[in-house]
Amino acid sequence: MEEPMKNSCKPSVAVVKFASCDGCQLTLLNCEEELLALADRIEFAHFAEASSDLRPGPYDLAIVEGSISTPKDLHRIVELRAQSKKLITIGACATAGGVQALRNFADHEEFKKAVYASPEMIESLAESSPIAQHVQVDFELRGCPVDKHQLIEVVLAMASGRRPKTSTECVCQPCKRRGTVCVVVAQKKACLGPVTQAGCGAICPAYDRGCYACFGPASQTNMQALSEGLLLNQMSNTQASMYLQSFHPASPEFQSESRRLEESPRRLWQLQPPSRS
Amino acid sequence: MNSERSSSLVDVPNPHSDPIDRDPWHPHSATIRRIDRELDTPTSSVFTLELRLEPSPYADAYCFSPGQFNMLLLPGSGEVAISHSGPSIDRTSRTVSPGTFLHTIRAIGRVTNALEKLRVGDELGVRGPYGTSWPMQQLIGQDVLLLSGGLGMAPLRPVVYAIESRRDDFGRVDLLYGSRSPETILYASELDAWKRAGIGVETIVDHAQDPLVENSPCKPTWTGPVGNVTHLLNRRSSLLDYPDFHPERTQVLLCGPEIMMHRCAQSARKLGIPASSIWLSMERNMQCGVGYCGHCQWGPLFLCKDGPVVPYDLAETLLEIKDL
Amino acid sequence: MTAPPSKPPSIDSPGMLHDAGPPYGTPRWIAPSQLQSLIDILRIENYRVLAPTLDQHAIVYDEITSIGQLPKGYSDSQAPAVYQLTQTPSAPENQKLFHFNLGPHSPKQFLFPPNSILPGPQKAGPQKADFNDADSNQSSDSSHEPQLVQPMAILGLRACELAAIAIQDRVLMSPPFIDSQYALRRKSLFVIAVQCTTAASTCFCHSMNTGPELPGPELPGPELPGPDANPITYDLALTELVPSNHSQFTHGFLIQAGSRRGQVILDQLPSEEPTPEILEAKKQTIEAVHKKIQRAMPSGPSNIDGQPGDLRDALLARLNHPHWQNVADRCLSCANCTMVCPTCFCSSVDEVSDLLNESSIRQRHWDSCFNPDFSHTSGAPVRNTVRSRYRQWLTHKLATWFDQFDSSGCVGCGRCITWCPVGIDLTQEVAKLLEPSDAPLLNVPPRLHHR
Repeated sequence: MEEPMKNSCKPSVAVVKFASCDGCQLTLLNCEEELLALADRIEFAHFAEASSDLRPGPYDLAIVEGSISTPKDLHRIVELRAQSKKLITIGACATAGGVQALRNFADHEEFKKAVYASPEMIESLAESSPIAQHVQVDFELRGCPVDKHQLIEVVLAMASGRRPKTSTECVCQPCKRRGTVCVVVAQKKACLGPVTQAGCGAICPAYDRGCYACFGPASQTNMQALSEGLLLNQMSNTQASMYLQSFHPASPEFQSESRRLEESPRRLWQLQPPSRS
Repeated sequence: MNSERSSSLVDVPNPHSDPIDRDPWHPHSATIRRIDRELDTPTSSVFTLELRLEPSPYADAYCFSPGQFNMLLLPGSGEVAISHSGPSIDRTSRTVSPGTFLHTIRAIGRVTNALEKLRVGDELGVRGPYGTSWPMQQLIGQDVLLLSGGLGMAPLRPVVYAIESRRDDFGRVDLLYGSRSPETILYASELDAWKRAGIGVETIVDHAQDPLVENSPCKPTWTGPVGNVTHLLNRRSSLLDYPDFHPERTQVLLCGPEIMMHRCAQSARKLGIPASSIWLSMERNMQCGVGYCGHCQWGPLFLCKDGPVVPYDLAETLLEIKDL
Repeated sequence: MTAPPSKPPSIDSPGMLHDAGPPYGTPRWIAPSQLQSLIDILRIENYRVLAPTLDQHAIVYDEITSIGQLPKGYSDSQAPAVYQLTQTPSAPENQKLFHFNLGPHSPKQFLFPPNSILPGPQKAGPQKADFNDADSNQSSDSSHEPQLVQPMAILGLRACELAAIAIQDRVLMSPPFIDSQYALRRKSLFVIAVQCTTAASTCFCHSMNTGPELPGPELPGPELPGPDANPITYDLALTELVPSNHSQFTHGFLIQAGSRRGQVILDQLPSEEPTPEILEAKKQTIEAVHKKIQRAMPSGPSNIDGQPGDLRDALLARLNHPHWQNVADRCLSCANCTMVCPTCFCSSVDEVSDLLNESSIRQRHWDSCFNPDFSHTSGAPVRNTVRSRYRQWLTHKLATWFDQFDSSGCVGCGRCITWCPVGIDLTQEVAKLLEPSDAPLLNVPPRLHHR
């Protein structure tokens, strides 16, 4: 009789998927050694990727992956919210609409016709939107996919009722702390690190690539300085606009700057740019 | 701070004289002996911890001056700077227990929320005391005006205790205390004892009924003044009401929100109190306590070691600059 | 670890040997191959030898075992937001091992590492916290004892970097508080300085009085004032010289000890007395570097007597200058300048606990005043705009540092100019800030005297 008693004391957790690639759920499964310790603290009541034993709600914590993309999703998220004491969203899709939010800026019907043989069979919304646009979200964890260590921290924090410790700095700081030489300055590469939320561990620059902003905009960004002072030294307006749209096209910061770049064919920045010898 | 000024402030045994304590990151163990709930409104949760240091050379040398602060460390949660809110006074013998002190804390952040969950007997880490203190030596023989707002009462309480214990050494002493609402007056149960000890206590509230509490069950019963502390201070300009107000021999100690301190300091200057007789307890993000981490800089000052108590003649120009 | 002595062991300062013999500091001449012997000797003495190496399209300090790992024949071209490695095309310069300028990494990387673990309790949670052994048993307390680090020898530090170390010493090793982690690394550091024989377009050490010439026994460095001052010093100094057209000497190094332990090591290397021609070549090389430095930090507006004014006072009088907003429009607030700066010391400490919340460590990492949360107080950042954060950085570095540490916080290395991804140049910004504006000048509080 001791086992169920012990189980019942642990907070029940549901991992639920909406429009997404499953990569963030996989991050949870990839925790491997930590997963056992995690299972000691929480009980996975509903985690389709891990177990076919799917128990109904209510749940103490819902971990939501994916964006709202279909009319059916709209109902499911409202239902899930009603069944969950706390609800957190993980990953770029759930927190910002994901890559699929590119359709928000295009003709939805045209897209359907181009992709599907029988577009009339497809029930989807014209826009892919973040979960927080529809229900109250207790914490948003960024990333495409999310970082394993941050995910564990957030799940444990929510389970024990404290505020998660996640960094609010931009990618440049962890990048420099790990000893990476700036790829913008030394290799003339475009990089979104200065406007991107840290949390990934600054992986891309460590492998000679600029940051793609998969963790979304930092808490404060100077988008115009980034485009005018950095991106447009390496690429055209159109390229810069597309670069900004890759992982978080629907994030307001990236969205408005990419629009501005598309609408202005020439560089706007007339503030004496540094002389480059 | 010039050496003349600070010499009177640091005349106390220094636990950091031990070489091992020159490493500021070294915490010392303290046990919670008592927890008092101070405020328990839906918007304000404030409690006082009575801490006793575990016996050690550090504990033997431990001595704080009113105005100083400690870093409290809860492993796993983090550290937080909390000012001293008094020595622990034995309730029966009325003596101060050595190595024992009080911290009044508002549960508002990650660490303070975790501290709130502690129980009597739990241990936490202590580093300190750090920072400058109220100019206790300079108060002797002077009139004293203590102006506090909200939780700013906590760092001033040790001053009240010190004055209470040797009341005759001071001239007229008044505490002007502003609070958001009657429910959030800190140490309300002690105010009468302070009055009996010969300290003038005037309280004022922003709202007779807390606007942040929906459907407050109690009807407003507040009959005192409504407004802010500056109002209480400005009344001193009336010679009729305050014939014995002597700005030239008054020392003003301020602790509360920055805007309140700034306004009060300006009013005090208008009343004729010299800038060098006005003292503020400033708040910034203090993390290391010794000027290593850089977080608490305010212009040229590291508020963790050049503050928190700063004389107004130094603070005046800095307060004028936005986002400094 | 036994109880620390009340006075920390001090680093040997330049002076005379007590016993008979030539004073240390006499310059000697060695062949390039002797650098390998030097590295070997240091490694036998258990030093981890760090030196400039080629990595990530730049020259950065890393551990070496052989002089073959030095960036022979490489140089760099630097400008705001530009760092480009170049290969020196022609002899004899392409023979040089140190014909380049500062890279992005500074000795801060090793003396004050970007991430480190602080001493303290290792267990988490209130009941489990065990601070007691730290209090009761000072002699064998493992939680407080700074982690043992292998002594480091850094080969290739420049004059401005020595000045930067002296500044960080003052921040982290001033009594009464000593940062044990920093002190441990610092006090075991063996410094082999290298005289700059070229300069980048971003260098302005000359105007900060920190270089380009290395201090020496005959040329005392700009010793920081104060009772606990550590003179800016080195154990050994190298000046790399290559022959010009009619020279009688071949590629080699003038080597000079700046400490007794440096002399002990130098005495183990086969060396010759330098010829007057070599000494003259050194003089000319340094003069050429001086001429190469084009950039300068402006001084404050001249006073009535025509003397250059105090930059601290000038900047603090201009905290409301409109140009701060002009910089803020271009600044990304990305903190790269503070990360590459050899004197920036701001840091944060994180509590990191394991999954079961059974143990936790305190992890210190470099932080930056450009991080909005850095000034978080009572629920919000105090400096919530780029304007206020850039102003904080620049005025701290060039103005309030004097109040806090009796010196400038800038050594003129120019890293913040090269490594700013949008090429903001603090010397240019200072010049703009000194231009007249509509904003009235503020009253400047007198300098605080901390020491």
